[in-house]
Amino acid sequence: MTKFRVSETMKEMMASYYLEAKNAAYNNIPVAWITSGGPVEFLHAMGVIPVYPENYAPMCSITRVSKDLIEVSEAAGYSSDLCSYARTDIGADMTQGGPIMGLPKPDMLIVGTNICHTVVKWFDVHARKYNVPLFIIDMPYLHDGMTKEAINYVVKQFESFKVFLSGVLKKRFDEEKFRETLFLAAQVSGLWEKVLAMGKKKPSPINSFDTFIHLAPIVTLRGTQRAVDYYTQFYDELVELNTQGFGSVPDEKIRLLWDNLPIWYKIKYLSEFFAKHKAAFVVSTYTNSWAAIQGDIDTDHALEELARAYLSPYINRDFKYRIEYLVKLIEEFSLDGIVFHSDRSCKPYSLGQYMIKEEVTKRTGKPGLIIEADMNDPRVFSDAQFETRAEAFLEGYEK
Amino acid sequence: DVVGAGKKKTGKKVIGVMPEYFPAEVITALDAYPVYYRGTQMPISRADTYLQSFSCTTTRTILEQALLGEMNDVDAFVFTTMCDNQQNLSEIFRKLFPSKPVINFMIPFASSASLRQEHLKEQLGKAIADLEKVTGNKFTRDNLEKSKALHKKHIDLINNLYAVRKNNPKVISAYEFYSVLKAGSFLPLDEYIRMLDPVVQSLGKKPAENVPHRIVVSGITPEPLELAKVFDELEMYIVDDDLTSGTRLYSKGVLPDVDGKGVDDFVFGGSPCSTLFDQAMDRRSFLLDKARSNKAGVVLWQIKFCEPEAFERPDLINYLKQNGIPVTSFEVELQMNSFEGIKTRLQAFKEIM
Ligand code: SF4
Ligand code: SF4
Repeated sequence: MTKFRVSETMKEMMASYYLEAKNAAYNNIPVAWITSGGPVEFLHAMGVIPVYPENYAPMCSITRVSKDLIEVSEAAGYSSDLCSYARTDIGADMTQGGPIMGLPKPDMLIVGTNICHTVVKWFDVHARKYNVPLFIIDMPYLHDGMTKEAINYVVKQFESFKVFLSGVLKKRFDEEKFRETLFLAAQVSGLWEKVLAMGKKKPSPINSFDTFIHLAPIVTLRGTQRAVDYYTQFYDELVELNTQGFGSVPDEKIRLLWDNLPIWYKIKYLSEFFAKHKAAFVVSTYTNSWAAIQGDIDTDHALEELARAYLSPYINRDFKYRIEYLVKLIEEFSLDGIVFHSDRSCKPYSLGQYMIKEEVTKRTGKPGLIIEADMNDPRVFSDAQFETRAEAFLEGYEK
Repeated sequence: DVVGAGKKKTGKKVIGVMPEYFPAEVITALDAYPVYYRGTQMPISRADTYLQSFSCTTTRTILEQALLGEMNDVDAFVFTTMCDNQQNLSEIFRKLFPSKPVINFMIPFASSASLRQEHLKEQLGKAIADLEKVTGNKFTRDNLEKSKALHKKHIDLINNLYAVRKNNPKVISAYEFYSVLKAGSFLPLDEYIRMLDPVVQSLGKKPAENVPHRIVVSGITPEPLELAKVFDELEMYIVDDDLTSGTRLYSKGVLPDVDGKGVDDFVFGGSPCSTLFDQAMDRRSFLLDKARSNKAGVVLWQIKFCEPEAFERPDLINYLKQNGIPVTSFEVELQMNSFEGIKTRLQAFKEIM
């Protein structure tokens, strides 16, 4: 993985974010647990600290405690077939474990269904335990592409989300602060898009393992000035590196796309493995999803734009769209192939990958490799199996 | 080939419902023939080309059936988004069977009840328009009323059958009971009603006998069906259920109307279901009441990889236990055909009951 100048800044920023969150109750600041695709702008506008189990779970994985936490939740009866983020999170909650010793207690739970239905069931477990309000914003899967009906449905839920927040927090919804937040969030997503677009450069100054790590602020701090500052710096650094001809993978020969979630506990290993083979992941469908959350907020239709943005992530799109999108990325990023992480935990991302892979290869001639694994449960990964398959795949490029 | 025969006999278009909570009254009103695919006990091989083994076997066997040509007579599919598996299966069907329309009926998760109704009304309106195209028939209020009357007969009969069993569990084995229910998922409705009516009548006349070891099963669907025989062999009497393809469905009654409130009352009415989200529903106390009123122990008949059920299981088990209800659970895959492990487990449960 690449060491950037901003990496330290990010560490500090994340540490101070989690410190604030941990001290929230002491400072009388409400905390919401929210899903990664949840509309966080509303929370910032109301002074609520958003906390993401889907960010904490990978933190536990990278710091190698996810296995233990998963085993705790399994011992409590949570099936080993459930999403491993949920298992990690439930285990961390039961033991107050992980790098920051558990997440601060929630005052409310906010779910967006634009990533999966799993999160509804998962957060409902917490709602029963903490007996706090659970608000669901249903952002339906776009089987038939973006529709006016879907947008309207989400806009109306945004309106009722405002009412919900004023009710729980017993204060008026702060429209002005909301606009400000929208503006900042759109800026952050725009900057993120620019960061990711640096992957088009040859060689690419950044790769997907880097973007997986540098995703944390956009997930947790989207809608804040700090995130804007951070990604501005990051982008500038990438431009500078590119001018110097820097490639994040030395002697880049093979350019790949990573599909699906990262395999967090293996990030370093995978990064070194592919670098050794001069293969660089220059784009991923996963990190691109946060660039999609970018409404044009300078209009009278801010909520519509926001709804459209939140409905857009790759995982919420139909297969026809997914295939066309991958084909487009192959072109735009001059890719040689795709690695599909078939993630045992994540059904909505993974089921269908086999046929998507076939069709994309048929249309572009670019091969694909399927890796069967899991993003947070290290017990599922076999180094030997992975290496045999990946080496065979990469050898194909040498011929 | 029951569906093929049914199609020939009735001359109607066949609509495959995948798998639950689309109001079939609408399909009947359009003079079409609804068939439910809920997964079935069978080996899986072709579906493995398209679905990972971590997809639930309901989903995998549905696809297997389609790939084996068992759905060749189906003219269009209606999918409901009960879970992520079904959501993606719908997309797989679209790609694999491009000549057959796939209609999606999205079950809402919105917290606001009025928005939920609005969304359902719109979803159903769209589905009706699509089905009109498929069937070439017009949806009319008159036909809806006739359809509702027919479905009411069906549901009343099923509910009577449940009542008969509850009152006299020995009168029908678990295997027979769920086989009868399953026949209803692919027979033409009027034919099914004709078959069912005398069965329910004659069973109802038999003198009731008390039984020990009364069981309520809870889960999605009683598959693999052969497993029901294990309950019969062990003389563990299933007196009632909390199954998505059982009382969770039939307790909804008949679709009242196609407006927002009507569809909402239908989808979210009846007993709680793990695949639906409604803050007002509490499956724990519901199941506790059901176990108490039936003087029964609870067996969670669970399908491996079914997330909606698995997330609820730990709390549910603890709650029932705390309230003194004997409870156990097991997980199955639909391609299974040996049940020794489960049998041992059930035997042990019977002893502690
Ligand atoms: S990994 Fe997949 S299933 Fe799990 S929370 Fe994320 S989107 Fe949902
Ligand atoms: S068994 Fe569970 S996971 Fe499978 S289709 Fe049914 S509800 Fe979905």
